[in-house]
Amino acid sequence: MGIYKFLLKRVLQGLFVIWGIVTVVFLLRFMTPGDPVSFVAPLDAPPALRAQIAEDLGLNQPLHIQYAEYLIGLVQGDMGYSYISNTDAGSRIFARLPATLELALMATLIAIIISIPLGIISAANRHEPSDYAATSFSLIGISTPNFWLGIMLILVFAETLGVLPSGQQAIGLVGALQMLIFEQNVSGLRAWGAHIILPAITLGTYFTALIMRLTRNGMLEELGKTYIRALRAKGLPETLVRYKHALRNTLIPIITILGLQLGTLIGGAVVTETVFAWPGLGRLVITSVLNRDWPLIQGTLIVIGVGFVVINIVVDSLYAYVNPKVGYE
Amino acid sequence: MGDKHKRNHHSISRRGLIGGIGLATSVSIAGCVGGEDEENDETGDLEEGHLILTLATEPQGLDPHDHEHTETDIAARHSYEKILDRDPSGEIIGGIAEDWERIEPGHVRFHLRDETITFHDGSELTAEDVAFSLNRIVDDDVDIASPQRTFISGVESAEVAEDGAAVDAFSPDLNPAVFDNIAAVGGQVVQREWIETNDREVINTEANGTGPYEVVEYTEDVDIELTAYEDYWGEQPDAQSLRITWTEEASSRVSQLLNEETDIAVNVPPEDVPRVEDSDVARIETVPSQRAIFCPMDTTTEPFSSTEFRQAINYAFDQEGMIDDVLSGFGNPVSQPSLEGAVGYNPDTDPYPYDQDRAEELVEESGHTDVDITLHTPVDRYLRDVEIGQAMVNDIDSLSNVNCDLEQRDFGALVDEAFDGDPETAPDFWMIGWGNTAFHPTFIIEPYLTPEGITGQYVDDDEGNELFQEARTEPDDETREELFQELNQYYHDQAPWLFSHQQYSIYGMNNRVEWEARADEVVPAQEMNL
Repeated sequence: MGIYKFLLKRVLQGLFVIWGIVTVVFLLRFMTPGDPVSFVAPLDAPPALRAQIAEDLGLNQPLHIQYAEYLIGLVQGDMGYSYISNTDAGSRIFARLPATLELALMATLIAIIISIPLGIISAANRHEPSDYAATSFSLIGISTPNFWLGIMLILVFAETLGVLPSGQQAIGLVGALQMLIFEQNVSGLRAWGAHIILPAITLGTYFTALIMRLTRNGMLEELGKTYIRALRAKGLPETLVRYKHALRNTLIPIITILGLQLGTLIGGAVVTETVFAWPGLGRLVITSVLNRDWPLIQGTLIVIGVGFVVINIVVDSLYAYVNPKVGYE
Repeated sequence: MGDKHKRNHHSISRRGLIGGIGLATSVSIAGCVGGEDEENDETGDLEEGHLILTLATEPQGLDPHDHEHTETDIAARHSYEKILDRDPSGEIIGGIAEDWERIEPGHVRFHLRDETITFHDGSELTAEDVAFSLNRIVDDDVDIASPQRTFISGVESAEVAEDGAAVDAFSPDLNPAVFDNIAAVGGQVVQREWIETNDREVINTEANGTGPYEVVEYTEDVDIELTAYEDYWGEQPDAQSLRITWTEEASSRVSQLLNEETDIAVNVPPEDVPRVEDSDVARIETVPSQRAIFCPMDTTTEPFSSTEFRQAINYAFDQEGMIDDVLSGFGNPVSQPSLEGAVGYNPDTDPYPYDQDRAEELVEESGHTDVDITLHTPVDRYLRDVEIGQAMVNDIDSLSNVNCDLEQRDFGALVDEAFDGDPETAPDFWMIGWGNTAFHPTFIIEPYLTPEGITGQYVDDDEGNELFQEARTEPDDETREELFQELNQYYHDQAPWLFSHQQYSIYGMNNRVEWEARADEVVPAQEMNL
């Protein structure tokens, strides 16, 4: 199967999944308690006024009509208007998307930088103190709830040591890069880095621990195989054996996990964004849920869901690309 | 040949991939690692003349009439002004109106200031704008159905008077609380033309008021940037620019304060107060607010239809113990619907003492022994509401003849059931907090204790309603005050609620800020000195 046929198949499957996501997200409103009209209407609103508000919000239509209108609107890029602020839901969601993407990508980057070297060191020094230290770190990283870790990092690095800000976003990455390129001013990039580092560590710690364990186990498996013995018998230096041959084969399954976890990070940034007042999709969805602002809730969940589907397609393609044994089948 | 080509192609792409990761890493490291001086710049955002105010939740927009939300009112008060306002102690003072008077029982007049007052777009404020603003709130047919209609209870319409020097407001009866209500939450003056020529999205994301600050930029979900309005008719604020932002997580808000990233952090949790008090850069300012926490009971159904049973619930709850243990002392026991400082507060009405024996006797007298009841409480709506609910239920359940369970609820779903008027779905016993920013008993009694109120389905009390109507229509101020005091004693004795406590407003403030905290939960930057 060629790459185009493979991609077409994956995209069609993805569209089907997205339709499922949209349907479930749309139905959520009817399955959860709390009438959106109550959040908009005056406390003493008579039934006639409540009915008028329901009509204005399009909530008085039969379910199938509301569903059809919602689907048509989505196809046209219209996610509706916030019940609370009357602003365009789509614009608001896409304005928040870059902050979440930056955070998820930075968390992934930190995870890669820390976890892969640690995994290699751990595997290469099995049953030695460095191995125990690395596996202990991994165990702690997987077991630590990120809301607690976030608060602890703020207490230590912001409040006690005063070397980093406690979160919030001073500037977006695009703005920081524009300052660097067009004004030769590095302060934007520094501000971006200083503000994102603690939330990224918080979000990426679990991920770091997971990749470290995968790398360690993969390396141990590869290092025990016969081709490694053959390479050593040929007199190849140990560094080349480990990094050129064993690590390359270990990285293939890690790419899959990296991609899938990136989707999880985007969806799972809710707690981290709330602790660090990070203006991303996760915080937006929390605020919207508290206000029963359904256009924003639905839009945010759909964007996260679509992101997950797209990442999966990319990962599948990349996996087949980097591993010739798999191919586009 | 083909395979070889494919392998080479793969090899180059993988190198490219690694190179890309390396570049991204370099960029990230460059971003994160800076000189020591630059890093320190990032930890303290406080600049001279620039004030940062951190709220607990995001304002719901900038339209001053399209909300019933404390944080939205706090934001709106910087760029919009009220007809009447309050000083920090709660006394009514002039706003856009310099003077006000009652012309006849249902007719009041607001005399506008002689000074030229301009909106931020440069146009002059007119009496027409003031009348339109009132009508936009009280008349569902004028632009929007404002949720603030409840707050200006009784006023039905407004019109220009004295050739544009004043505005008249009309109520169907005496409406003694009209000035208190107009000085309460919301109700700022907008420009009629600007409202009528812009859609709701613009009105919610931009502002055109007469207040001391004009909005420079509102980035939804991030912050509101404001700057002092040069042509403001009143005194220029000390802080020439202002940033209003919000952080939902309380401990993070406190960390921002202690890391000098903000000047004011609202709603500091009691457990974090020592952290702030021990710091060199910030301090705590507290004030008893006009927000009462109480638990209405459905007096139309058993067992809560029994006065003895309702009194028993009040005797069973250790108010002072809860305030000490759960709120670290940041609260006052409540004995009646009005709080100290409000009209009609009865200083001789003491809170129910904690007396479990008396509570058990009263349960016996009520005839509802061994009854099962459930208290519905919201989660994370009020200061430590979860723990307060647990303390209440623990105390009531410890009675030998009552079984009490706790149901912790999403606030939206809870009030939806309580306010929709359907007695079938309404909870019998539930917790609510009510900020009486009008400092007047009608602001709390009318919605919660009269059949016409938002929880009218809970009320079956002709005597109480008659007393209330008598008090609210009494023209003489002194007699009215006495009647409301009697009414507060009456409601204490009838115990339609489990009276809990008066909530404190707890602010964390940077030491460079001078400000007297207010009882009405408003945080105006124009009152602060840097």
